[in-house]
Amino acid sequence: MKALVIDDSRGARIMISKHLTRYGFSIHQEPRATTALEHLRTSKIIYDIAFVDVFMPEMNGIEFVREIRKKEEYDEMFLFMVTSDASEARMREAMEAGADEYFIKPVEPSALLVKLEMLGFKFSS
Amino acid sequence: MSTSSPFAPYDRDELFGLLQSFLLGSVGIVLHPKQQFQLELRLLPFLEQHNIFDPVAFLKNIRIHPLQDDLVEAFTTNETYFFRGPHTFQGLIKHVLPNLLKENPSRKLRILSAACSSGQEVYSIAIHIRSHIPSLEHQKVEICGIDIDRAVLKKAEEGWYSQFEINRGMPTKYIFRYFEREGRGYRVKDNIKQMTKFVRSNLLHRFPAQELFDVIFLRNVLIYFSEAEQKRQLLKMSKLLRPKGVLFVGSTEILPKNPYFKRIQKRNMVWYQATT
Repeated sequence: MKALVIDDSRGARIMISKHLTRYGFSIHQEPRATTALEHLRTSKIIYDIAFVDVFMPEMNGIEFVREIRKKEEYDEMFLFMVTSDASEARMREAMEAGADEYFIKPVEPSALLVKLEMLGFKFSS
Repeated sequence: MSTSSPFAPYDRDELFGLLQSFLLGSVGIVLHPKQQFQLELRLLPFLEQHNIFDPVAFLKNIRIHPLQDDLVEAFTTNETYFFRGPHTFQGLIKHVLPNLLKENPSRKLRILSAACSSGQEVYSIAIHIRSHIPSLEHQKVEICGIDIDRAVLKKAEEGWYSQFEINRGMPTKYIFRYFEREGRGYRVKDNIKQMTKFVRSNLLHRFPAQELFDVIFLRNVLIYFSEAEQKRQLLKMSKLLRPKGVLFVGSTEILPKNPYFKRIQKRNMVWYQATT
């Protein structure tokens, strides 16, 4: 399982990557939505899932989701927002843009696992 | 001897023995010797909160003490998530309910969530049914949650969950469909609530079921019981079920050999069907 983690906070990237590695994901991290788009374009890697922060400079996470959902080759990639913004308006905006999940920080590992299982990811117990 | 203030001196082993015996006898919970930390974690804070400073005397008289139920509540585990163990819900929706509906298209389906805690499992079942079998009207299904803890049952009945609790497993698409924002959390909508009911009951005692159930969820409950008690509970569950009714247990639980249920597995979905 391959995961792309996009967050402008290095600490947040490390934290979520640590949990995901334990669940068996191989991780690539990007500090910006813009650099993540560039990485996807040049590497041609199709990730199983991208964990995307909402508030980032240059391009925010919801704009990133809109960009990805325009591209047919990423149809199968889950887009999982991870943010501290618990407002319903933001949540709706993200889901309408094409996000599959909206997860509010702090990242509690077992809660994260349940949401990933609901998306269809399988983990050995 | 321990003399940890503010309590009267007590022998730790004696106190733990009294606690073990009470929990085993009243609710069938087994405390293993390595769980002596439960004294500091739960018993002593509970006593301090109620201004009781002689732990041994309290436990010796616990069976006639008005705080008996409250002590049980302090030792029952309430940690719970929405949609915990998604394979169970898939098994229910993809196999168990379609079969039941095929065999009994007109009868009301009854589902029991045993030790339902604050209601997450009950509402997860209701939401999953509403979402995947929308043709099943709310009058045709009832999900009954039972627990011995009054405080969590009250919360379950209210159906209000904080943002933190909602974050624990509830898919975002369902939040919009089945919850209404209220304060700093969300309340379950009436069209889900009307599929549910909550009853206070102790698993070990007689459950006041007037009708039998088609499906029972008894997940991560039996692990707290001795093997002999597990078998007694399985017999009891089989009696609460309709013929060929279905029991779901926790995904990592292994049932002791018993004549009451046979194990059925479809891919990674596992359930137990009553043999009678």
